[in-house]
Amino acid sequence: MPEQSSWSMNNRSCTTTWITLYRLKQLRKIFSEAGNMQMKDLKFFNPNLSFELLRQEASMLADMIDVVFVVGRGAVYEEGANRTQAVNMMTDILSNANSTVADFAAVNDKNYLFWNEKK
Amino acid sequence: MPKGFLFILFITWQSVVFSQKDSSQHLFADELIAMVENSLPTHSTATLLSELKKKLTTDPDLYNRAWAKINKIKETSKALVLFRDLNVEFKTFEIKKEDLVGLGLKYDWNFDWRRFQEKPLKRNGISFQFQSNGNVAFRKELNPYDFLSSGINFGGFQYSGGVANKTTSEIRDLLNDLEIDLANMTTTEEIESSEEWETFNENLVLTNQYYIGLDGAVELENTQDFRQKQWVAGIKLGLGAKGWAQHSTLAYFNLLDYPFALLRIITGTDKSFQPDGASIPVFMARMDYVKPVDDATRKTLTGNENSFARLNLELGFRTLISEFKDHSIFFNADLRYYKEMNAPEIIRQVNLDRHTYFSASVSSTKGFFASFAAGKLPFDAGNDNVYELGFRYQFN
Repeated sequence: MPEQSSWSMNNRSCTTTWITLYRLKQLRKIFSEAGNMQMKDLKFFNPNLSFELLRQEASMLADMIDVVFVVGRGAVYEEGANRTQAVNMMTDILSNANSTVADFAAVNDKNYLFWNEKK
Repeated sequence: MPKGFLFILFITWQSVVFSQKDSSQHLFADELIAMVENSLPTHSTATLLSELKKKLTTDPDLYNRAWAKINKIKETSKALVLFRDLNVEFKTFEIKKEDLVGLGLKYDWNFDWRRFQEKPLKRNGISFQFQSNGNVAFRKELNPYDFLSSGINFGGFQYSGGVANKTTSEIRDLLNDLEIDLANMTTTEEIESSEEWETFNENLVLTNQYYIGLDGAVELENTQDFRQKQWVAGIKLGLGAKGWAQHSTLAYFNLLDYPFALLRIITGTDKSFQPDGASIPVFMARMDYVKPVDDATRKTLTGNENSFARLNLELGFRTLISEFKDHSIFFNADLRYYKEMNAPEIIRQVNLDRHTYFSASVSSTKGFFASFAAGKLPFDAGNDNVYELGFRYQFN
């Protein structure tokens, strides 16, 4: 779980995380309002599921987001990070009802170097 | 439940969760503590619960405020690191037919590790998971979901699909520029009717995504007082599919979403009839070998505690009902089915060879949720219709 995260238009992880969740129909909020959204308010988060099935849903979404970042958007893994770490961390955050989209973007910022993003 | 226990519970909550220096952040906790203290001398437990329930279910910001405080503590408290993967949800359980209301909590503690092969379009891997979850009522007779489970899983998985093609440098530059333009827009209507959104989707072509996972599992299942328990070993198959493409053909196979697609048109959320490919139901099947231990009911009925095979199916579904300016409303459902294979005649006669459990809820992004559950899980003695109102609270 990351520290309380900043949500800024100047952070490529924030904008790319937002537009990816929007494109995957997980949220329908403009950028400035999306950072405080919680995972339980995303479309995949069914509170009635057993936890293992919820994890399955979260891991599937995490896998998809990783593919969009890497194959579609040209992100690479940060030094010391890899696909296993990135997807595991995304799955953890996505499974946590109270984590926010800003928290999610902060985790992605640690694991991915986005296209044209400066180190 | 003793009133003192309630008081201690809230004092503990106050000291752990709300111990912030900013006095404004005490507001809500103080509000609750004062209400409990004032009620203790003059009110019955039922009245107190009633007042608490009323309070907890009429303040839509309660959950958000509680969570904001937990986030603050997490920054400074190393002790809470131990609880990083422990989720706790406090609930009021209400059994309508007996007019009973009780407090309790749902917990889940999960450690999940996965290792992938690094191939982006077809991703295989192995996984290991420890999990423990269940529902605990402070008065056990009021626990309608008296079924706790702890165990480990180990297995393999594969994902396929996702993005149609690896994009070029030029397209990546373009997508970056469009992303900033879209992030600057001030309404969702502006975004979705813009040329930028259309161009973005034309250049980031998504495909259907599929998941299959196969795990071996060993678990201990028990009631909250451990008066009934059993060991379970088995294999688990998980399946998932998502139609991410715009106007996905796969989405039209999502028949469960058809009524909600109509509702979305009626409420102006969608402009045309479009089942949602992101809401395709998720499915899991398990075949288990169960060894009862201290299962008095079974021993009385069959005269032994012999092992048996059990099939377990679960189907989950969540979709958008409607979207308003400041919140969204979702429909959530989950169906679980347990069937003992080749059960002894006496077990079949008393209907303990199969268990069906269905829960459905409507939840709002403003915090409120209402749910309905019917049926029983394997340890339950009878069928219950349970209505539930609550708020959630989480260590993380």
